[in-house]
Amino acid sequence: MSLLDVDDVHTYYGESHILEGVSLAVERDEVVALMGRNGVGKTTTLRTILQLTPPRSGRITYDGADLVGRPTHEVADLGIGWIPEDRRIFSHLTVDENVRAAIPSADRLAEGRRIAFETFPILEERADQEAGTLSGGQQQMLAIARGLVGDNDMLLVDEPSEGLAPQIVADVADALADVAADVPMLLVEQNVRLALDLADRFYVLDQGQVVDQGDTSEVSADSPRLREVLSA
Amino acid sequence: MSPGVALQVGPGVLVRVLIEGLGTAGLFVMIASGLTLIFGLMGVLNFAHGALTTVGAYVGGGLLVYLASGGGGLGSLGLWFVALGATGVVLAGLGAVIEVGLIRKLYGRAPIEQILLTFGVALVLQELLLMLLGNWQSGLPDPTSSWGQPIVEGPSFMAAGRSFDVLGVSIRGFTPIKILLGVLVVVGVWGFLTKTRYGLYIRAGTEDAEMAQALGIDVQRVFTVVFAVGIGLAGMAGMFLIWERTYDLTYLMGAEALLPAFIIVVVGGLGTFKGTVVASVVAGIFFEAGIFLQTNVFQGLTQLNNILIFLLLVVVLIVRPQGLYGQEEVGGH
Repeated sequence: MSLLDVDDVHTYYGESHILEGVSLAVERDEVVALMGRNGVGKTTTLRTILQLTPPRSGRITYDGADLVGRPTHEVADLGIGWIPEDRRIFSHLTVDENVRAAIPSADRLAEGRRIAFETFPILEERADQEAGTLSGGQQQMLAIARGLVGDNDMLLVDEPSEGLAPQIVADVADALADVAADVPMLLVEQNVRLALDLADRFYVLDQGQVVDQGDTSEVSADSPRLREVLSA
Repeated sequence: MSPGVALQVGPGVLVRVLIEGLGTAGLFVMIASGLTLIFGLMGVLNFAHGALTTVGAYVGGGLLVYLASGGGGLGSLGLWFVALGATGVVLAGLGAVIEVGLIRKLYGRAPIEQILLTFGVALVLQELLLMLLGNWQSGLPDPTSSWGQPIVEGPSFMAAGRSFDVLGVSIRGFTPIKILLGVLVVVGVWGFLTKTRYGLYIRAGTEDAEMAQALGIDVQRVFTVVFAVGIGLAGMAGMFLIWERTYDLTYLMGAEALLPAFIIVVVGGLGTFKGTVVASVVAGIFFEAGIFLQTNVFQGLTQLNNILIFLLLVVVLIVRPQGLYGQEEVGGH
């Protein structure tokens, strides 16, 4: 049994059929990249797993537990963390409050803050600063830190390099690689090179369906197999 | 201004307007803070807030009569505070029932549906009060009724005509209690929001309810708590309205109080507690200044207190449309 199993999931926004029978799996010791052009349903897949946009049909299990129909906070309590597109930090809360909001219980507060601030020392320096005043890279670090302190056994990571300068992307990639050593991930990433560097396996989505999958060792960012389905 | 009437504003008048204004601000902040918390977190404009304030008035009045009839050793001030606290608890419970039973069904639907629902709840509550209270709804309560006497008199510290001097200025006995309760509400709500884990969840949920849920926060439960706290505060404010000279004790009393509360929420900035506190103080002082002017200078202008608050709204909307501390977008979902 995989850690995460998504089986023949159909998700709609209103009458728009976004996911048309998506199936994928993430094992306990791997990073899986979910790739595809803009608007093919990558973010919707993550939202569907979290039950933020529940599917109309299909089955999703995490560590054997059915996720469909559960409230999102219960999905999070099972150990699935989300590092969303656009970071979505609480911009009017301080950095420290953002971290504390992600720590599931009061008795884990000290440990959670230690993990966050040891991983990203710059966040400790700015602990009392409003999170909205951080740079884009620092906000991404904060978003990752929230995922780390949430007692999560798996992370759903959505476009972590989006909108960041190349040097910052390298820092974020290093941080994610460190995290990936301990925590399995389902990674949505437009930067194919970064996705293939981090991931063990990949799926390619097109028009709401999985059109390709395999080991990342089988492909490269320039390989025709990927270029065909990822080029605009 | 009528011919021959001069406006003489000495330090005594200013002190009185300021102190009475702070008392009124205490009342406003109790009603408006619930309104702003509910809007800020849940995106719900609660049109039932006023009717629930009225329910609080009658629950508080009823409890006061019941407690007074039982005697006990608490004294009038103690009984009054017991009734006030119990009113807050009862109304908070009623608020929780309304949120879970009705409002929860409409999250994510068009705002107009929430407005219609809360407006409908207001009408139902008002009509229920009218049915329960019969003819006792025009003007002051009948002193001969079993409810009337203690309500007309109030506890001894605020009985009709009771006042005391501050810097040579006569202040109504009730005013310091309103200021005290207003300060307690501000400190209590601020402390709850900034110093407790639940408060952190509320602020996180106010900014991004979806993200808060994905972090494991049960935003639905947070909604219920916030709605209950907001309605509890409104109910307690209702008990104060019983003795407010500017509000008639009728089943529509809370609806009258809702208008300034809405103005305060808009002036302060929709959904911001800090803005609501500041706007309550400004509006309270404007309100009392209006009462002073309509009583002593412009005798014909009986609604000058409300006119001044509307002017405040107009000026703020022109100069700073998002309100004193508002953001351009609010609402947790």
